[in-house]
Amino acid sequence: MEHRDGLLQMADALGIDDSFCPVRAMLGAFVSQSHFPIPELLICSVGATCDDLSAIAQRLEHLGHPVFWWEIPHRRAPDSGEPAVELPGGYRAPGAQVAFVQGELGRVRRALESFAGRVLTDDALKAGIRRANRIRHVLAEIRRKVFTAPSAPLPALELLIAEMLAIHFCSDPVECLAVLEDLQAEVDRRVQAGVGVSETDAARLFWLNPVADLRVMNLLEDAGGRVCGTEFLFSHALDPIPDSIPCMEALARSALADPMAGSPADRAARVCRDMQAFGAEALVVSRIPGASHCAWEGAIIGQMIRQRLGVPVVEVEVPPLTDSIEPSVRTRLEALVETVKGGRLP
Amino acid sequence: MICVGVDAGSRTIKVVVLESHGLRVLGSGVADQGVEQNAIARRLLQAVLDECGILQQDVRAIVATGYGRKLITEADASITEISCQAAGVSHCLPQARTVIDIGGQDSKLLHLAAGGSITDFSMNDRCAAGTGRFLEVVAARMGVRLAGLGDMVSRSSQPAVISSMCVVFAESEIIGLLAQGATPEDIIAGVQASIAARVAAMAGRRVAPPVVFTGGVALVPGMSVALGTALGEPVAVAPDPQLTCALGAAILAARKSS
Repeated sequence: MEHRDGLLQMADALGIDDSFCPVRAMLGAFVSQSHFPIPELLICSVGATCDDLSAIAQRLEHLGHPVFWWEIPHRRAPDSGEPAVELPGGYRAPGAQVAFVQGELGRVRRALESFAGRVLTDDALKAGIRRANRIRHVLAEIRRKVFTAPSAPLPALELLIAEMLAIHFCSDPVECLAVLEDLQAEVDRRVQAGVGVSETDAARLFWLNPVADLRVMNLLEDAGGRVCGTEFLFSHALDPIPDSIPCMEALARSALADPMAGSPADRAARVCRDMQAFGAEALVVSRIPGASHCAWEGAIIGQMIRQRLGVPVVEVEVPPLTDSIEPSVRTRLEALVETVKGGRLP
Repeated sequence: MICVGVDAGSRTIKVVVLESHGLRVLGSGVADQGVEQNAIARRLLQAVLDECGILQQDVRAIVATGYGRKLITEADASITEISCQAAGVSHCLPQARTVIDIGGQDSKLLHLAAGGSITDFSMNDRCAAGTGRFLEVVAARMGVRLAGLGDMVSRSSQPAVISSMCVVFAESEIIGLLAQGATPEDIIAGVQASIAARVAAMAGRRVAPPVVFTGGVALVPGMSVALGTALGEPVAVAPDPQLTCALGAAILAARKSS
C-alpha cells in the first residue's frame, strides 16, 4: 500500500476520517479491491480492543462484508479470594474471565469449522500453537541479542518489521520462520563479528507504540540512539502460548494477555520490567494521530515510567507522512540522546 | 580562546561570542530570521566579531543550535536547543531547576539537576497556541507593538477567557470578544493567561523551583507574571533571555574544544 493509492481518502469518503487511526487505510483497500484478496469472512473483536479497528469493521459489515464478532473483556486483577489464572507476560486474570474468553474463542472455532466445512481438531490447534511458539522463540532471541549486544546488530526499523511478523506471519508461517531464522543467523554473525548499526556508547532507548510512518524509526539511529526494548501494542504476540494446558484455554490466556485488553498500568509495569532488563536509559512514547490507545495511554505510561525509573521520557507524534515534522521529531530524539549522554557524565 | 554560539531560531538568529577561559561574553547580536539562514548568520557573526575587534581566524569553535542548526555551515557541531538552553541557564543561574523557554514557534520545559544536567524535558511544537506566534497574531490584530503588551495587561480589569485550543480559532474568538465589547487590555491579558495555561499543562505537576523563563517571549512584559500565576511558582526571567540558548551553545563549544 502506498500513500498515493488514495486509500485514506477513500476511507474519508466512507465517514472514517482522520479522527481514526491510519489503519483505516484497510477500509480503502477493501473498496479498491487491489491490494489483497477480499476475504469471505472477517473475524473481529469488540470490547477491550482497538476501537478504531472495530469501527472500521462495523463499516465494512455495513458495506456487505460478513463479520463474525467475538468479545474480549477488559482484563482486571482478580478480587481477593477469587480464583486467578496466570497469563503470559506475567499478568493475572480471574479464572472467570479466562473461561469467558475461552467460550468466545469456542464460538470463533465453530464459525471457522462451519465456514470451512471441516473440523478444526485439537491436534491441528496444537500444531498451530507449536508453530507460533517456534516463531516467538526465534523472535525472542533476536530481540534479546539486538537489545543487549554492545553494538545493535539490527536497526530499529528492521526489528519492528521482524516483530510485526509475530502478528500475522504474512499468512505463511513456514516462510515466516525461514525468514526469521535467517535473520537470527545474521544477527548472530554480526554479534560474533562485533559489528552493528550503532556506536557502543549510543543512547539506549525503549520505543513504545508502533509508528504510522516507518521512516521515523530510522531517526533513532540517526540521532545517536539504539533500540533497547520495544512495546508495539502486541507484546502478547511475542510471549509463548502455554503448551501444557488444553489448547483453547491456552489461546484464551494468550488473548487476555493482550496489552490492549488491560490497563495502562499493566503496560507500564511490563515496560518498566523490560527497560530494566535491557538497560534502557530513556523512553520514547510514539503516538499515532487518531489512534485512541496512543492518545491517552502514552501519557499515562510515560508518567509512570518517569516516577518509577526516573528516566527521561519524550513523546513524538507520528502521522502517516512525517516529511513536514521530521525536523521536529529529529530534534526531540537528538535532545533525548544528548540528555541521556549528559546524564552519564560524572 | 574564542568560542561562538549561533542560535538559529524560528523568528531570529542570535550570536554570542565567548572568551572560553573565563566564560566571559565578549559580544552578542540578534538578527531577524529569513530564507537565507546561513548567510544571515554569517553576516551577523561577522558584525559581532567586528564590534569585538576579533578576527574570524581567532574563533576556535562554533556550535549551532535552534531549528535551523543544521543549515549553519560555519558551525563545527550542532547541538539541540534543549541542551544549549540548559547550559546557558545553568551558567547564569546555577540554582535553576526548571526552565521554561517560549520562542516564536515552540515552547519547551526543561528539568535540571544540580550541576545543570537535564533530567527530563517536554516540547510543544505542533500548535502555536502556547508560543510567541500567538502573541504576534494578537498584537497585530490589536494594532499594538509586542513591547506595549505589558502596559496594556497592567490596565486589564477582567482578563478575557480564551478557550480555543488553536491560534486560528482563537483569532476568531478574539474578534467575537471585541464585538461583545471586551477591551483590548482584557483580551491581551486573556491571551497571556492562555499561553501560560498551555505551558502549565505541559509542565503538569513537575515544576521544581526555582523556575527560570527564557526565550524571546520572556521579553514580553507581563508574561512572566502570567506564567507564575499559572504554575503557582515565582518565575524569574533569565538575564538576556533571548540569548541564553546561544550562550549555552558557545559554552558547549568551549567545552568541546577544551
